[in-house]
Amino acid sequence: MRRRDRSPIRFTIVLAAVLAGCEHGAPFLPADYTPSQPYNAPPLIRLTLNPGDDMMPAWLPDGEIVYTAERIDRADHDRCLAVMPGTGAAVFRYVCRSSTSNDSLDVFLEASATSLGGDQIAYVRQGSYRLPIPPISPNEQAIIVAPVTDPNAGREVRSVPYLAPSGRTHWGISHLRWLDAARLIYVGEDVSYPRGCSMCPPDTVRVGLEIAVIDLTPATPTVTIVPGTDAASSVSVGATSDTIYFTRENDAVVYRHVFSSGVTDTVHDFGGNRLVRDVAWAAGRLFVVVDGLPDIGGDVHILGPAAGADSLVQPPARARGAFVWFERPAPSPDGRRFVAQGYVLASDTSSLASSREVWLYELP
Amino acid sequence: MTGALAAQTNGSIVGHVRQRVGSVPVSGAEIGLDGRFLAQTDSTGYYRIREVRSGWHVVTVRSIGFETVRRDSVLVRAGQNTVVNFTVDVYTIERPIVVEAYADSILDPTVVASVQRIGGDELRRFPVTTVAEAVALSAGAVGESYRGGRLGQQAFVLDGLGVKNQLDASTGGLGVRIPPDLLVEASLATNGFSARYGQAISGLVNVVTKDGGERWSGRAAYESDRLLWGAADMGQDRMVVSADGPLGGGIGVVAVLDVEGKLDADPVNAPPPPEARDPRNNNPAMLPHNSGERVDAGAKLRLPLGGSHSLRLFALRSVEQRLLYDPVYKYDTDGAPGQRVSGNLVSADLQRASNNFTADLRAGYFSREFERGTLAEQPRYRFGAFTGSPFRFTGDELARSQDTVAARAPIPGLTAPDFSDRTPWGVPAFFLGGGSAGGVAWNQFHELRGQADFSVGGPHGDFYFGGEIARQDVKTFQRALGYLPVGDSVPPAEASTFTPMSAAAYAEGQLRGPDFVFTFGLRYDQFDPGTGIPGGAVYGARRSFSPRLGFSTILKGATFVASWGRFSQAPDFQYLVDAAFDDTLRTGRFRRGNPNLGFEEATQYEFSLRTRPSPTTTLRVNVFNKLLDGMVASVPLGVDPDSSIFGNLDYGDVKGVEVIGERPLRDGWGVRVSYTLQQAQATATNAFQLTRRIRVDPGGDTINPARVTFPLDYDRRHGLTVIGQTQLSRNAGPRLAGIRPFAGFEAAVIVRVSSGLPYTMTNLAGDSLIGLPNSHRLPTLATVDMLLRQPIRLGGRWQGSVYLDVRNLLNRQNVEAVRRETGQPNFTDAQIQQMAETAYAAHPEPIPYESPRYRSYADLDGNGLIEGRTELFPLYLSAARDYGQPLFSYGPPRLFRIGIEVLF
Repeated sequence: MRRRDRSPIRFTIVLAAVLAGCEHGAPFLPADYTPSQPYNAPPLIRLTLNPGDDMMPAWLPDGEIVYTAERIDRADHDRCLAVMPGTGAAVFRYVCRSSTSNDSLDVFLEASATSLGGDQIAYVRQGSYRLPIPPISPNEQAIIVAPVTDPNAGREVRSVPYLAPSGRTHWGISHLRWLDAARLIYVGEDVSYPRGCSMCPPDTVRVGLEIAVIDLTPATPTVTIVPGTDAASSVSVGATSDTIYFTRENDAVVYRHVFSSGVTDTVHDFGGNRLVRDVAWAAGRLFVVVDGLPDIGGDVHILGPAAGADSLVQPPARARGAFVWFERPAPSPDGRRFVAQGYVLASDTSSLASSREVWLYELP
Repeated sequence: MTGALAAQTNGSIVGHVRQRVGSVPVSGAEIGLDGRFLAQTDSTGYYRIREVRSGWHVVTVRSIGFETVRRDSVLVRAGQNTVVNFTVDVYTIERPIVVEAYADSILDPTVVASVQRIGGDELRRFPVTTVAEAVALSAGAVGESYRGGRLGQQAFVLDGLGVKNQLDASTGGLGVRIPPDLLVEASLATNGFSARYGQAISGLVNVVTKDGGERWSGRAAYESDRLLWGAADMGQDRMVVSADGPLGGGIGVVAVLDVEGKLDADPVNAPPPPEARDPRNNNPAMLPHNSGERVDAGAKLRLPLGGSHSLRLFALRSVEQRLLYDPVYKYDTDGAPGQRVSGNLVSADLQRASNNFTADLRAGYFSREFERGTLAEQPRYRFGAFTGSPFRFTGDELARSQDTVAARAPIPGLTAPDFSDRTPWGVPAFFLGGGSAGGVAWNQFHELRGQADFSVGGPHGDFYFGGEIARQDVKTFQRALGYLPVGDSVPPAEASTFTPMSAAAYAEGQLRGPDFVFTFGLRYDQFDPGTGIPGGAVYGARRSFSPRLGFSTILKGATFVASWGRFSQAPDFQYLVDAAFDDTLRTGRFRRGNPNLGFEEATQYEFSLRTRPSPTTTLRVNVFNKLLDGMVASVPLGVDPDSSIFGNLDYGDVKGVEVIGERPLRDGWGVRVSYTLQQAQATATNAFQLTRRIRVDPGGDTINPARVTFPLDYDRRHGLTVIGQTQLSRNAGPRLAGIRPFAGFEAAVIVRVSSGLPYTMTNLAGDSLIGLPNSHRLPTLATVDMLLRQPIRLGGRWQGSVYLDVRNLLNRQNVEAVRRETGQPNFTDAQIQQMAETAYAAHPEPIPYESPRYRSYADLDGNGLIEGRTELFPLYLSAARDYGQPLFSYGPPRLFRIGIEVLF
């Protein structure tokens, strides 16, 4: 009996397996063309070079940086939220009301998203219609709470302006912070638009009135005023939601308020004719903006963690005859870095920059 | 005189029975077909068996006093008469003899139709993969346009049952595909076809499927280009599994599964870009987001019911889903659209077949669903281009619910696109991302059809009559720019639901004289849009009568046929309802539906001459003139292009000559040469084009309007197709190590050369024509396709083969489209410059370091800003060059497939 020749069957099976096992080629894919490194080396890293205003940076829970970026590539110059890696490099996400220029100026400000707030981001959203004669104040303004992953999918928790329980009208909001997962704390402001002369363009003057807390738990969020915080100019949340730190207009003191005891005391007095403009807390340290100029910023002093410790942040730029004044410092949760908006100035304090930029400073 | 005009699935077997000694006719001999004795010879020894199903049969003759002779492997083709002559001896010993029988449709005057066939075995030998590719080899075919007909104007008949996507055949295709392994044959009839199948302006594609054989047989095949590299690896995989055989009790079954996946389902042969940073520079072969997969599964059951009755049940399901490459979304492919088409066909055919009377009662259910839009999530590839799961589209639930009120708001999940920041150039120009075009389109078509066909035959003629009725159900939904609310420039969503009905009846007779055949037929068609369309009930049913006449005779060894016929076809139902589409290529984004549309009509005259220059060669010459009238086109109602309405206002004519010479595969080689000279003119190539009129003003007088026509977009003047095939014998070639490696080797080559299609030249602004419409011609097209196959002996009943299929063997860059303003595939340098200038002027702002648009190589002074013309403009220039690549100006590139198959 002749043996059956199985070699052709085997050959067929092997050839089929070889054909099926080979990987296919693939179509072309675009590379990643964006910068992966920050613009310059630490300790003072310039995160943005945008000719427009970049302001109010903050940290996201996963270590990324969010700030408000003026989109000069749009005809209406929307001010959108921008998100970039925590070490600097290229923005990888913008959050705007629409993806293109439209008929309104949309502004996203005061973004705050911390571990205290959970996976939520809170921010102030403004809108102004683009008219031949532009409006002075926003046509609409509100506090928005949304998922961090989709800030546009949020809900309006408080429209602005509104009448606060104190009897004052809050025309603006600043220093929006998460007190805990269900409450936000901020500075309620009075906003006015004085003109230096009848034909001069109006200026925007924001003056802090008091610190307010909004409770998101009820179906209609409720606002309460923190007692003893008249003329507050900034606020920051401490180690727990029971403690806040704040400053007052035209003052040289950093205050602390404890909710459970209702006590407000002085943490640090810079004394003399000094002026504190801003305060932020992280990891036992206070980052305080001192002196400088309104709407420009000032020097950053770091208080703590040891009692009485006060160190002045000295960016190396000062040595070259130019320096940066900061506003709105936002320290990282470990307190080893902070981001802030800043102006580059010459040693005689004349401005060298046309706009605010976002900076990252790494403590030594 | 030989046999009768055959039905579209059946042929006839005719012949003479004579004694071997003296060639004396044997009268009264019984003729059997596949074991059933159906006919007897007359006094001249002549016999005829009518209505023989296309395929292989066994014919037996027996007569008292003579040997019984059986002839195996008699191949019958639809519409043909197969001649089987017997020579018998005066003995009674049964002795089977295998003889090759032949069909002679060339000299048979009863074959009035102009038919070009391809058999299932030829499909396997030729470098074609689908029925559509096979039919496209026919003379007079320009893609799926046949003899100047528009896309979708062909009729499709499957085993005698008409199947048609009556909703949007001109833009959407049929929706079901017959797996080639299920075929006995496919043919294209371009004229003179029976009044039974009248609804075809351009051509009739007739497909006959297998019945289960008397022995189990099957095939498994896998083909791919995975073994290859570079541009030869286009990510193709195809698997076919088929089987047929008996289930006992005379029941036969056939089943086929044919699946195919391609990582680039529409490859281009455009030159690589000159810019080194363009990612396509290193990999110009495949386009991203251009994959496709399809599944075709078919099964058929044949049940003998006793006597002359039989029942055939057929089921077919086809699904095809594609990602569609859009150059605008080159760097953000998630925004490019996808598409999914699925179709189902279930049919039953109850037949009573005797030699003098045949009745077929058929019922069929056909459904088709089409979706197109933005994918809800990008598919995951599991094997090659196969995803294994259906595409889901954003807004598909809204589309299926046809909720046009809810659709006034932006559709959740759709976002407006913005300029992409993922390009190598970074600048906000040309390329989009972050959103899609926002179009959502969905439609569903169902049809339940009943059909009855009868044929009565006699010695001098045949008579056919019958009718059909079909009830259809149509649902459509369209929304453009779905990320915006309706209003201003955004048209509202359009939806429609209606249930049309169609009906037809026909009668046809063929009278056979001593040397002539006269065929006459009359067909009645009607369609009624139904009450679901506004105005549909007012206008009611449309009716049409279509006569057919044919005369054929034999002159000096050649058959001459003259035919005249009128053909009516209902327009696509999509033209009866409003259409909203986002189309940047045509004028306007809206067309009003017209429920008052009537039939599209054609009247065709044809003269054919058919002859055999030698016993093994054939020659056919067809001269035809087809007058078109009532074609649907778009008619402007006012100044706004979006106010156009569909109307039966287009007209034209198609005239041409076809010469077809053939030597079938015999003695190891065969060749077919077909040449077509054709002129096709009308005023609009498809219904979405605006009808064009010009005013002729000789000597100051104005003639308004002139009945002027222009070459259609598919007016291909000259077309030459040469098909050569060879097959070596089992003993051919040298013997190496005890085997003959080239034994049975097969090769087939298809060479196609054709003149280019016409196009319209415009000025640079694109608002004025240069010359008449379609008065310029694209360059000549030429392709060479090849299939090489080497059989492998596997032992026993098992056979196998390996094969290599190559399309566009010479990798010719055939120009299929050019820019109207230049006559070239690509933009000129001046146009690129202008595009870049315009884009730069729109966005001259600097790009800072932190912007995702920042490109370090462009920051010449390293200051962290790309600013000023010196740094910015070169990026816009590169982007313009990138965007302006003439990707779709060229035909497909060279494509390889390596395959293996096992047969038993």
